[in-house]
Amino acid sequence: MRPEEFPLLLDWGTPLGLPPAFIFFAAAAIIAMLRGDHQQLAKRAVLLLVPVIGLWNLTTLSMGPSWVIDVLDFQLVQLRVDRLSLLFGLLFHLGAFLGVLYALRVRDDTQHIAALVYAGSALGAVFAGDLISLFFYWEGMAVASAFLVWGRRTPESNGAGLRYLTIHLISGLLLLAGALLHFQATGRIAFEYVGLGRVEGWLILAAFGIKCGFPLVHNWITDAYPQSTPSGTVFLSMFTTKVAVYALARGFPGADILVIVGTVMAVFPIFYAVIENDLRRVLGYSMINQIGFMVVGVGIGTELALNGTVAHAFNEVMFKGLLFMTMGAVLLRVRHVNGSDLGGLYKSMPLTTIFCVVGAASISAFPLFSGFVSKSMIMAAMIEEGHDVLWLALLFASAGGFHHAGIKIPYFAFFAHHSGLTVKEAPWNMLVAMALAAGLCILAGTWPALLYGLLPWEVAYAPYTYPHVLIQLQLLTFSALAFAWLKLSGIYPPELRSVNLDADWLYRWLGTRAARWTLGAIGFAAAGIRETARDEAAALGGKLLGRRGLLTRPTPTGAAALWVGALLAGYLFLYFFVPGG
Amino acid sequence: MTGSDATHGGGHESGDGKPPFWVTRAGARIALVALHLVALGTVVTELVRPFIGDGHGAERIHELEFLASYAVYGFVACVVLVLLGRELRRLVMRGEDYYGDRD
Repeated sequence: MRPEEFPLLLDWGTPLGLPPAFIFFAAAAIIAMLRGDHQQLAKRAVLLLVPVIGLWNLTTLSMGPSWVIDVLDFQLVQLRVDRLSLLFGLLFHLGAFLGVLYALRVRDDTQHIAALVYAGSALGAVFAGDLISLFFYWEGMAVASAFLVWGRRTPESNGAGLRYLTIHLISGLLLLAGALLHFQATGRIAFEYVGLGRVEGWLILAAFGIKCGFPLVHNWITDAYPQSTPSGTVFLSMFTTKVAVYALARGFPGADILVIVGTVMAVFPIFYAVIENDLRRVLGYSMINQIGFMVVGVGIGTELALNGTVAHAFNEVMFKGLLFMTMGAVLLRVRHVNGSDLGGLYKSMPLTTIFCVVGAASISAFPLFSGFVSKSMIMAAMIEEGHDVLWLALLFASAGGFHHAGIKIPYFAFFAHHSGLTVKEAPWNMLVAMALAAGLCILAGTWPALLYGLLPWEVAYAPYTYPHVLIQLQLLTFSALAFAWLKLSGIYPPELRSVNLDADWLYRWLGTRAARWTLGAIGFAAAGIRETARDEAAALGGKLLGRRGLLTRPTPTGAAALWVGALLAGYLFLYFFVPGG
Repeated sequence: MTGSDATHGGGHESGDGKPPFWVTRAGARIALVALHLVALGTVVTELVRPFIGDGHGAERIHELEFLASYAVYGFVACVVLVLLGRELRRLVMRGEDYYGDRD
């Protein structure tokens, strides 16, 4: 990493220097203590001030580890500051500010407290210098974020939240098991390069992979995000997967398997996104698609690739957060985000429409928007390392990403057919949050040096070259042309209310039925065994104690005397001939 | 729709009863023509000033070293994506209450 100081670190003389997580936890406690609706103003002030104070605190930090707590044999480092953790720290503060601003009018303290604990845990995980602390913050994120899913208070969100929590707790247990094995093998608990040389490396990778949304364990994203509250999904989209990307970048840079895994992640969701009707679920698939690029970047492991990964994570928080905000605003006003029943909202929600288009352009990597300056770093690194075939697959995924997030989301929500819906524009706080996020998307796209200056490694990459701009414009305009032709010709699949089976079918349908069948079989077998045992016991009792049973039938006195004599002889034999008898 | 802020009706009409031009059929047609022109423009630009792979940002590999290769790739990718998506739908689409956890 670059040796020089992070640009945001300032010399304040008397630095606060707190672990950022603590500030968010304290704020959550304050919100919990402010009871009643008349305290709304105070709650809103606290919510808005927390990220601001946290950001100021961030500028007071010093490079290196601090806040080391000794527990048993472990040294738990609460604050490990380097360029990587600082960049994610900055990102999460910005994300938290946008999130609380967006959620400012929500009158549900549980959601606010959960959001603050969630953001604090994410910051704790990013600044944790050891695997045990990482585990605690990892689980803190899981529990707090589950409340954001449950916050919608519907039967679907209850079920989705429970599944979400279960999967994330499993991820935490894998991390703990890996951490303890790592400690046993190396005597060290520091969270640094882990690698895949030993079994604990695979356990920790599995833990990170679940949170990242690796293929087959990705459905917590597409299951829980659409069921959460409008603001809850914005928070969810900002922290969990990005903490996982951070953890991968720190623990597994250059792990070749991640190039394959990331490519699969980037490609397969785009097919589901084409046929999905719930537009927030489309964004869930889109998120897996984008994280796939980041995972590829970690797998390549060069400075260019890792810089691209981190830069794209930064940008994704902004543009994906923005897109979830726009869909959240639609959900708030219309009560659903089904593509089949939306359309024509541009007139009722013109500002939201504009912000959605900015988010769509950013995620699609249009020149002058944020995705253009970060995604291409990963792509360029792939070519440098000779991954030509996988690069073609990622280019396909990129075109697909533009198709579903760049075209489908704004088209079906705000344009398309006229649904006849007339709604109010989004509330002012949501609009301001969306405007800020949109501004950051454009800022990163038009002034990439600003973002590149924050990256952990030296950046020798120029995004605005003639070939790159032209290539990207060709790719995007012809993809749009294909969409238009397919739509006009009626080949494009219509939006239909439906459920699309995915890997979660294994535990939502097959798993529940298998469990039901297994329990039924066990119950049946237990009943059979019980009945057989009862019959056998009755038969044995009859043989022993029944009329003419072994113990109750009349026995000649001579036979009894013979048995007593035999027992006595046995006893005497043992007494005299067996040593110690 | 219970509890929604949405009301049905209204339509696209502006204050004078006419829909804004840019959402009319003619407006959509113009937008489509503009899209075609921009797309064509990117190809003509490459024809006028060809480029070769020259490091970062060029992103050019051997398989795509022909005129308008990225235009072709983008178009074909989108068509393949949609056609495969249609087939996927046949396999995986079920009713809304498939998992039985709806209201």
